[in-house]
Amino acid sequence: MMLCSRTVWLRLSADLKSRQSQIDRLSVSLEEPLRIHHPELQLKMHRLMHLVRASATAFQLLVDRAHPLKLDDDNIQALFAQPDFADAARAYDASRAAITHELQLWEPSESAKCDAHVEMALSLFRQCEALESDQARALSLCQLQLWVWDGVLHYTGEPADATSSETGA
Amino acid sequence: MILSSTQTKRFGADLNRQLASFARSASQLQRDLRHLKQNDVLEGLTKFVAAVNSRQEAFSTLMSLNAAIGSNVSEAERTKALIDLSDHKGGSAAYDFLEGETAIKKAVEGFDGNRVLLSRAASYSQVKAAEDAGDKALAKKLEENSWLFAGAHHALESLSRQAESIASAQWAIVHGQGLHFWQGRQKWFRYVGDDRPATYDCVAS
Repeated sequence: MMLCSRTVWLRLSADLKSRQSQIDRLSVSLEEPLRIHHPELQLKMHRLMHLVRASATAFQLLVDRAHPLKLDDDNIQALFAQPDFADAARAYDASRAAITHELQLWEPSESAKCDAHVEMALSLFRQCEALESDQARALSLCQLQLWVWDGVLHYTGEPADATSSETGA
Repeated sequence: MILSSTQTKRFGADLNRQLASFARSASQLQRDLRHLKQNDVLEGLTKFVAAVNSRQEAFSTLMSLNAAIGSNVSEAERTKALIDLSDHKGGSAAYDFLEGETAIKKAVEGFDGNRVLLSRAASYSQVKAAEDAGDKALAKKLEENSWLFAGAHHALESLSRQAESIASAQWAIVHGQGLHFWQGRQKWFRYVGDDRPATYDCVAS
């Protein structure tokens, strides 16, 4: 069951794909100046872009499968019973956590931010965070929320007894 | 380091694309908040969007004045040349640009995203009561709303990050034109080439 019209959903999907492409393009244009003047920042950007692409791939599989369905508890469970869907859910959660971790580790000094390329890299990183939030929004519109706790994948609508036995609660 | 014209155009195109995406996302969220009757958050969001637009206007003014300085002024002299433009035009534009960033931060603090989360929790907690009362239609509506609240919360987070990203892209282009200025501790406007003593911004007005 969709919480938005088909038009809104298609617009949102197209917007997310377009922003992903723009982020890729911007990272390519920053590649050379960062390599010359800020090699550590270039490596950070590489790691981040790798994670963003992994997250986007996993996210795409999740929404491609979830969005046409009427997501009551039964077919949510059926979705998560599919091994590749569950793998994508884990990959999505792991890449999101890694992106957050990667971005928390870096804040440029005020003097470094006077460099146009450093400031634009900062813009790129914020775009990645915004994209991640909008992916989470899209999953909410599919009535899908998932997380990994103690290595175990959880989701809203999972059977309560499975939750308690898996977590050992 | 002054950016090449190709890099400036590329950064400018990225900024314009970000502004368009921000406007689309904000417009969609405004519709969702109206549907969810979150008028306080909606009001805060409207002020936030106005602050982002106002800062972009200050940025455009700054870039127009920068173009008027001409390309033959060195990076070391450019900011001072901007500030020295007649009728304080350059200084005012730079100050508006700085103030615009502060206004955006205040506007973000102004809309309480947690209120959306609390509304989501309230909506979700009412689902079971509606189910127990046998009102399936109400239970369905409340559950849908709880997901819409979750989506609205994520959308608010995204818009905040998009605004920060836009601010950084604007700064990248400003610095890329050789313009460097900032606010001192007592909110005195300072810039590269400013010959007032370094202690100036510590003096109370």
